Amino acid sequence: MDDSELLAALAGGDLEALECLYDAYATRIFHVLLARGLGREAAEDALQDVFLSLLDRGRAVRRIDNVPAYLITVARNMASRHLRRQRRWATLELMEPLSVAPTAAEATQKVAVRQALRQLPPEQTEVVALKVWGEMTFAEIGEALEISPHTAASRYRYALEKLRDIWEDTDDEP
Amino acid sequence: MSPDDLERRLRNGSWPELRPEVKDQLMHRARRKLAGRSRGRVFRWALAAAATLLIAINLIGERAHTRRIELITGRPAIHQPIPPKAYADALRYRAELLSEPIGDLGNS
Repeated sequence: MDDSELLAALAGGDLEALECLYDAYATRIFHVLLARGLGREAAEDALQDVFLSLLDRGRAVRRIDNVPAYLITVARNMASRHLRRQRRWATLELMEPLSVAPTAAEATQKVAVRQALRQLPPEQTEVVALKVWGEMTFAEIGEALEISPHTAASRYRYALEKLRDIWEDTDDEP
Repeated sequence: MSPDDLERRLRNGSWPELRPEVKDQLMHRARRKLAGRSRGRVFRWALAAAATLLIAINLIGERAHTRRIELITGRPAIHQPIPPKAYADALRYRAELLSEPIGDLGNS
């Protein structure tokens, strides 16, 4: 079933349709929420709210043209609201607690990634997250974020340039 | 540092995986939400049915009252035929009157 058929089924109260949409888009929405600065638990809660917002729309849910773009827009709004409530950006818990005790070098590297991502604008972190961890193409990212693939690629390139500067600076430090 | 090196470094920094139990939590919340919504729908339809019934009783009562006046006075209580629009207006006024408290319930 394609998205429009799933939305029609969801409008009729079919929760299997919601499950299918979740399977298709949850991971990338989760990445967006993390990239927008939410901690893991907050992102998981917000993710549920994002999908429940489809139910809130009732029969009007059928009018959604681009499901991932809609979900990402709702996710961004929810992340902004959540961060406003927190009134700070301090909990950018991009990394989950490590399941295996890392070596000192590995741990340092993971922290460096986390710190570097904090310094990027959210739009760039979003593209990096979707590209690297979401394993999406620029065309897919562009469609989901409602930007051109070229813009997605540019944001990614700028992000990598900034990350390189950050890491080269920190690597040079004694 | 090449773009490939940068990507490798990013991938080495772990990123939280979405836990499977989140889906179960979502489906649980969705089922509760739908159940709540259908309860609300039943309540609204029950109110609408009650309002319709009240309007019907009210109209029947009015006709019976008119007939009683005619029996007492021995002549038609209404001298001119009532135009259909007047009937429609009377229905609309009754519906508005009854929908006011329902609207209040809906907003509370």
